Amino acid sequence: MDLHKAAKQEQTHDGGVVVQYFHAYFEVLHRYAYTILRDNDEAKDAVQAVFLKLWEKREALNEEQSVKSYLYTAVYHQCLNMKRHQKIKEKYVAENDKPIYDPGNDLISKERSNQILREIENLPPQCRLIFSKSRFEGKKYAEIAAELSLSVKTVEVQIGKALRTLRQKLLGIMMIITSFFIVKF
Amino acid sequence: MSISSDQPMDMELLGKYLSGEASPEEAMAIDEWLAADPENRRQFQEITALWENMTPGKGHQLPDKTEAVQEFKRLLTKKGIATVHPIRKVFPYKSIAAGLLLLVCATSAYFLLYKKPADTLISKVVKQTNADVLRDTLPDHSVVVLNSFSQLKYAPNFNEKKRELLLQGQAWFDVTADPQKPFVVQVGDIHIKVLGTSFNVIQDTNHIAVSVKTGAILMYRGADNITVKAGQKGVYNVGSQHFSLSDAVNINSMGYATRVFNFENATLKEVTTELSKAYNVKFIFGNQALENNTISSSFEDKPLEYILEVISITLNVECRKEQNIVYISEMGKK
Repeated sequence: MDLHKAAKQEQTHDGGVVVQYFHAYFEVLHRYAYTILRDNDEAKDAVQAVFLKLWEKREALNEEQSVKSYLYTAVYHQCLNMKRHQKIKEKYVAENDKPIYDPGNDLISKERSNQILREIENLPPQCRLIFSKSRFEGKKYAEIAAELSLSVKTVEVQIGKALRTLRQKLLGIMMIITSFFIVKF
Repeated sequence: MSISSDQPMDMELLGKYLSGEASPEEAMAIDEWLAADPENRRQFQEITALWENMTPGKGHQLPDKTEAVQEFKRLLTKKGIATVHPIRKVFPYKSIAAGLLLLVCATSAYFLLYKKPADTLISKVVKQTNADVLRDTLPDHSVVVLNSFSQLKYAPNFNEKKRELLLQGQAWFDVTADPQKPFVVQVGDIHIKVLGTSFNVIQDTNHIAVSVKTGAILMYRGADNITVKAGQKGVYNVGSQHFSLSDAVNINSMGYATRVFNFENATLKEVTTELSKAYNVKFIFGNQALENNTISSSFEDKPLEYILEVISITLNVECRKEQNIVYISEMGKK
């Protein structure tokens, strides 16, 4: 992708080069931001904020590789910042104001998610505990490690193990889920 | 850090990524691995589906990219204006003598149907508005006020040899006089050439109407043309492609730029719609019935507080301004 050269040539003060980077990296950065923020709209805000900052620095842009790492790093920090603000906000706003009905649920049969939950129950005890703390309680790896007096590396390994096991056990129903998932991708 | 493309999925890394624990380097490694092979992407989707199906919610959904790009461009335009050009604080309605005034209004619906011929103009600089109104200075020091949902394009070398603009939507121009470089605005398939004047153009699906306040302008399409003078309105019929002349100038249509209004039996809803653009405020009614009260009054570049006071007294309502929001309620009720 020799985006940089092409983009640089078109540099005008309407932000040509930055818009091209936006085109090229929006999808991956949005998905990355989503893993941290767990909210599609906030992920979009985060990515946009990062590109606005990039635009301010557009004169200093050099080769593409460094722009790419800059973008990933900036998205990472932007998301952590937003999460910090979110935590402060949550202190003041009553919880559970999210709508109970979520149209996304419609598409997943209850049976299927029950099947997944059953398989999680069947994981070895420590593996299940660590996985549940991460996935269902939304805890950070470091928090889980501290709670259980384990190393962060152990948490990483156990969650990897959980995913590997679940994937093998659920191979049959994965085909159905994936076909549903591709539609919304 | 990198994962070779034919390597099986690194579940620990993937778990970190999905848990929001991946460092920027790790996220980059995942994305490179994904881009390397469609099979990798398929496996990734499998695991992501499994992950997302454990809890309610829609999971990751990429917003519409075209829309996101457009939105980002609008944000850039706003920023660009703030940093590249100084913005004049007060619209210099009273100092028009220095230049020429031009107001162009056009409904965007027309342009959705119309194929832009004017891209021959090799437009590079693009200014675009969403719901907001944008005040900006062009390279020749002419002032432009771009109304909501409008777009203005011009070449980067604007003002080097000529001054040509392409407009979609509505805009007001305070044009710096320069006989050597005529100021020409293209709207739809016609051109408007400034001859030394102030004027106002309104376009809808069927018509492009140019109301002239002082002086004169030339409207033309190929060899067909019409000169419109002060107090007149030139109308171009898009269907028949004919020009015609009439009277009547609607002052309010340029109020968002000039802050000059003449309301006659206008509903409070109509009045506040115009005011919100001119003064960059929002209006919130305590009671919807209030919107239908009518008012007749004229204002010439008055402070917003003055206008609000007139409205309060005339309609016996209470106007309370907090930052950019004006709350209008019945007297005594909050």
